[in-house]
Amino acid sequence: MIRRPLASFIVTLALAATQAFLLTGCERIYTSIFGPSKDVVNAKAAFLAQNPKLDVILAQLRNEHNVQEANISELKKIRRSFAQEGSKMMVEQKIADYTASIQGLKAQINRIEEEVERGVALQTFNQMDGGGLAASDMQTLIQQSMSVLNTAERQRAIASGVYRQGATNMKSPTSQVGVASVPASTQSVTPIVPSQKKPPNSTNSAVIPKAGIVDPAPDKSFRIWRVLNGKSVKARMLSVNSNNVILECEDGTAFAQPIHLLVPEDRLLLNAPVPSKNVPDPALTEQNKFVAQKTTDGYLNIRSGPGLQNQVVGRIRSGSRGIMQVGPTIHDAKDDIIWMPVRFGGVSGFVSSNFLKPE
Amino acid sequence: MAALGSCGRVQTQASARILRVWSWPNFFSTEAISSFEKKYACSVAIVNFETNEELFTQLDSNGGGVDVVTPSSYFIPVLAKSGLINEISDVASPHIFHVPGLKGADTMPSAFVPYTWSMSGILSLGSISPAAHLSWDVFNQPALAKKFSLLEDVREVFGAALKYLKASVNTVARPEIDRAHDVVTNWVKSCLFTANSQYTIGLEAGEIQMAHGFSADAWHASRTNPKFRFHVPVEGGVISVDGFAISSKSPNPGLAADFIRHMHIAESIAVNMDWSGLFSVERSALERASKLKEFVFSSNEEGLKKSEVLMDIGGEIDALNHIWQSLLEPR
Repeated sequence: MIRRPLASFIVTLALAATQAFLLTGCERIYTSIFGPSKDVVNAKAAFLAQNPKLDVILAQLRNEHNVQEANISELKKIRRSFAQEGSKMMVEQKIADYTASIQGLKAQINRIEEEVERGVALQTFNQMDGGGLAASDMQTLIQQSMSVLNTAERQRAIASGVYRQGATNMKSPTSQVGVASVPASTQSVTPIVPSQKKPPNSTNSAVIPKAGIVDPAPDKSFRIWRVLNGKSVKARMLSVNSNNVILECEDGTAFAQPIHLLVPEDRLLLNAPVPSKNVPDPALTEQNKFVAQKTTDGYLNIRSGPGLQNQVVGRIRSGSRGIMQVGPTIHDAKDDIIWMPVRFGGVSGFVSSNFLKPE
Repeated sequence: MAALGSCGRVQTQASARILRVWSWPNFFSTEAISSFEKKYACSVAIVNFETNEELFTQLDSNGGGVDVVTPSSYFIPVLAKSGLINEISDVASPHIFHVPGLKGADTMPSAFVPYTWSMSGILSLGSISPAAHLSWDVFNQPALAKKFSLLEDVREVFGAALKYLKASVNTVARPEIDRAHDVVTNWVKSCLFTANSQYTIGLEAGEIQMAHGFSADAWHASRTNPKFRFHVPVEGGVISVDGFAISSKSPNPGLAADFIRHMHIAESIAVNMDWSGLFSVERSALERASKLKEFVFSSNEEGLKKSEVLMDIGGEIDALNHIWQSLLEPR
């Protein structure tokens, strides 16, 4: 083994600590508000593929969770028909039982997902230029490193470029538009980037107006941005690209918020499409279920995004029931189609609401 | 060195096999799955779907890495036409049960290995006298208005109406469908609610006196409340055969075939049938399932002979769906 200078080891240690911190701490905060990025999902999927037992257990827990949710949904529907108070209470009790069961399942799922996150962090560290240590030692090292670094030191490590140096050492393709200077794998685990490193004015970071977004004219003042699950964050807009608006918090952290998940009020700031008044906003109501209406070929396309130009990721047969709305509708002015984000048969995407009717 | 060791471990883990199965809820017992995992040194990840249409969408999107699916027999042509499942050549078809008079069980589609069947009929809490004469006509009786529930499944409800009219559940004849339409219209107006699961709570709560439902649900419910009864109407019940198909994008087609074979060995069948309340299609297994048989057919021993298996009706399903939606919409 080649002996490295002490300085190199310290840099490696700092890298590991930063990486671990970003992987476990910040990511959790980010995902709790915005949901995981595609790259994070990919990183976890890769880890799970190498740990099949964990993958199977997670699949079983999630499946049980979904079954219980379906039971609750069915019970709520039945409850509306019941006349006697005693009967309604009986249903309520069953719903409470299922809800308690779901809470238990969620706790188990969270525990395993934490394990997965730790595993992904460890694996990422393995890929960095700091090899030569046993996996268990690396885990200990990361934990110790995290405990000795306070928040200010972490920020300094990021600001000093150590973080970027580590990032460029990683063998990964560059990321997508908007945060192009950060490698994809780093972006996947570091949704928060320092304020000093705003998306540069390179060709990769150029603002690409999306259909329906006209000159976003970023509002540089700090304001409250709302997200679907009711949480809010004080931030200012740095830029907007084809998929995301890049927001910066007061503490200098920045992140990308998918445009289609912005609430109507926020979308107005971008002059982006807002939901039709005719279609209920699921952020305000319970999940809505729809039936697929008849189409010319008997199938309703599920697309990856709200527009005919987006890829077809699935098809729903006419007459299918239980199509679940999972977000606010988006009006595509170009084709005058109201797109509804849905989930059906485990597939998520957007369908034209012209071919959906409430159940 | 340690790093190499670490890589080696990862490689070993990566080679571990996972079989991904998409099935109906409560389709496989834990014991049956565990014995397969043990024998073939693999893990089985099961995800449930609620309708055949959900299964279609999942398979059509990308296959999701799914190996084995368990659709209904009548849905196989839809999946096959879209190239979503492969022909199964190396799994012997079971000796499928044969009941004189029962239609449809002997004409299973290719690319499908039948596994279980269940019947839809009428559920009650406590005996009905005389149970042997219970007819689908009971849903037309004013005394039962708003005191029964219907399954929320177009083929099951139209199947029941067609049996009531003494027509085939697989008819595509317009006059018969029109008559069934009238029957179903009245039933939907008269029922208290439609649901595909959880409807047994309506009986337990006393809100309904009868429920259009599945024999397997009655079997499950009877474990906690022995008063649950299942009745096969005098005109016969509606049978769905569910079984195995292998996704055309299966990452493990060989293991998928092993799984199907394993589930058809006698021990697996016995364990699974008792647990799920779903009859095995195996002729010999059906003969041995005395407890389940008694539970389902105690009220009407001749019921099975008059029953019928749901089969593919091609494009006619769109017309039925259209009717069905228009009936449910006002609710």
